[in-house]
Amino acid sequence: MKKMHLNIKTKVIIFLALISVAGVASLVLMINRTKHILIQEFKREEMKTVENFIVGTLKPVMLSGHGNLMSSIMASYENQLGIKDLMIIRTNGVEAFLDDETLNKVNKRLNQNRFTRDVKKPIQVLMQDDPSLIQVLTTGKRLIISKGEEGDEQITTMLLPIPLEEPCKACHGDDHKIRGILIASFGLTDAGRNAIREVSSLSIASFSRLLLALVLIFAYLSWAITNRISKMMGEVNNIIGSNRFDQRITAETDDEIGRLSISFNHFISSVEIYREEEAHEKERLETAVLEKTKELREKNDFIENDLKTASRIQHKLMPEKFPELPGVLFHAEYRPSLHIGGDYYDVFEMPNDHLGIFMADASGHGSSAALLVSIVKAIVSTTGKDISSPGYVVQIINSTLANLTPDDSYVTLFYGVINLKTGKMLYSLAGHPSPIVHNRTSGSIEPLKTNGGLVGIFDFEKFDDSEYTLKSGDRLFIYTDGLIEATVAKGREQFGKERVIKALMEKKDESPRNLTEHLHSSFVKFTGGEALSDDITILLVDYDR
Amino acid sequence: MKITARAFGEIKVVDLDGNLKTPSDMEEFTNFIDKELEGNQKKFILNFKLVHFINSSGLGRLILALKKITEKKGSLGVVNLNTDVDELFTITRIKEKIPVFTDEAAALEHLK
Repeated sequence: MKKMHLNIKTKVIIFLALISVAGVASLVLMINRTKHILIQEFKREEMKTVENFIVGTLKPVMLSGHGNLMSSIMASYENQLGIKDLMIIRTNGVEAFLDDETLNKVNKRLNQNRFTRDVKKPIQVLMQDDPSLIQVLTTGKRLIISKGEEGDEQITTMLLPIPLEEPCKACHGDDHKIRGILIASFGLTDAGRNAIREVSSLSIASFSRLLLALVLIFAYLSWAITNRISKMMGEVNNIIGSNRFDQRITAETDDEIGRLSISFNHFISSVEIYREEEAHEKERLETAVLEKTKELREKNDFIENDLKTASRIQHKLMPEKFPELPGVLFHAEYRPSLHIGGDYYDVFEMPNDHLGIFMADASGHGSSAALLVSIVKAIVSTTGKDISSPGYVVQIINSTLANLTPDDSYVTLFYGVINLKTGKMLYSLAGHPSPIVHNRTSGSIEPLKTNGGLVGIFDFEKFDDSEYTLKSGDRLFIYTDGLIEATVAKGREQFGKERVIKALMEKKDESPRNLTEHLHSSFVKFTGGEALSDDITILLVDYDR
Repeated sequence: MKITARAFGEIKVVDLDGNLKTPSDMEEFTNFIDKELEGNQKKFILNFKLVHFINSSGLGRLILALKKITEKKGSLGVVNLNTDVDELFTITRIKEKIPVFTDEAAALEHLK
């Protein structure tokens, strides 16, 4: 369930509303209780007023014969009761005064306007055989027949016996001891009512003033407290917002809020100290980082120098100069993507007018690839030059690498052995991009056929020799995949074999060096001068014998 | 590189999304295959539909995967090679070691 967040002002308003509701409820209770007490008080004394005064007789009587009787009955109760209205009712329930004329006649006889037909609060008419009537008749004593609430006032209804002073002639010898029964209802006098009303209004007024005073006091207190807290919050936010932890907030009074300000100032002081420590720590760390950076730079310089040395060594692995052979021209370009690379090429003379042309590309690049090709170079230098079958040499390289190097390391290579007398070339092309033979006279373009897979993966792999006879005018273009797999900046299009072939054809009459320069500039244009992602090696052999 | 797999019986088609080029690509690929092999998965079809480029190291990792799968007497096939990758597979003769299929259904049928 979501927790409600109320600010102090809202809480105070809710609190005041609750106090008001509770106050009003208590007020209502208090007034009711006061009224009740007052009513009881008035009741205890005398029943001061009669709302209705009704006479019932035992039998239908002739009013004319009872005029004086009524008058005397009235007189006998009048001292005790403030009679307001009077009505005569016969016990069979029929109203005695059927019309105004009869009423006036009776009042005239009594010489006063005693009787009325307008009964505001009609009361129960008792029937002849009512047990209450019979009880009063036989005992001659008064009897309360109901006590009930009617509005705010308690009304009591009772039966009052009218004593028989002399035999009733009008009744023609009826044997009864009382003349009749008054049914009377009693309530409070006007004075009583006024007293209650006044007490009630007085209570309401006093309590309302008290409640108002309470509300004002609470409202003032909450306004004073929340305003001071708001002011304090403003100062706190200023300090935090402006980052000025050297500032303090004002503690105006020595009360809870004042003490809260002091506590906050202590807190700010701690923060200031902490920040200073943090600044020192930062400075210390920065110094440490600088020192570490220097150290790293030194180490990096060392590695860099080491790699430069390695690079020089690697360059030494490549031929410093090419064999000088009539009708055969060489040119090579070697561009590692890092200081040292995983490409390697070699051109060497072999016994019996044979020429070895070698190019290898190790998987990956950098120092790990460089180590791989060093092994290849070592094998080629030691054993390769005496063996006329390139496939056999590659097989030796393959089984050596397969047993010495990790499972995912391999090289791709081209190894060709040319018989300079005949132009016949035996070659092994293992997992390597096909060298292109371009005849500058006829314009023919012919890629050499692959005859072997990756070298150094499976030691059981067989590598055979393929044959190609070079003709005069042939230009042999051997390269590594770094050239054709380079892509445009942030794109997928590769430089590709087609651009190489186009350059070969366009620059067929140019020297191998010029062709390579042309190829290099179109390569840079294509890649947008991006750093190389792989090593690139190109070896050109112009065969004109 | 994003790698997801779909199972078809005992064969898992591994959808590769991205290039097999950077050291992290290599690690993700090798870890994925290792984990599957540990879970005793043996037959794999690598879907290269969303692979545009593999460099020499990536090819090395593919060969490594092939070796590991073969050691466990499993089988491996590849499907949906683009032109460049297909050429790389041809030049390096990887096709002789890993069967290449033009569609998934044919690969699934072959590895059954």
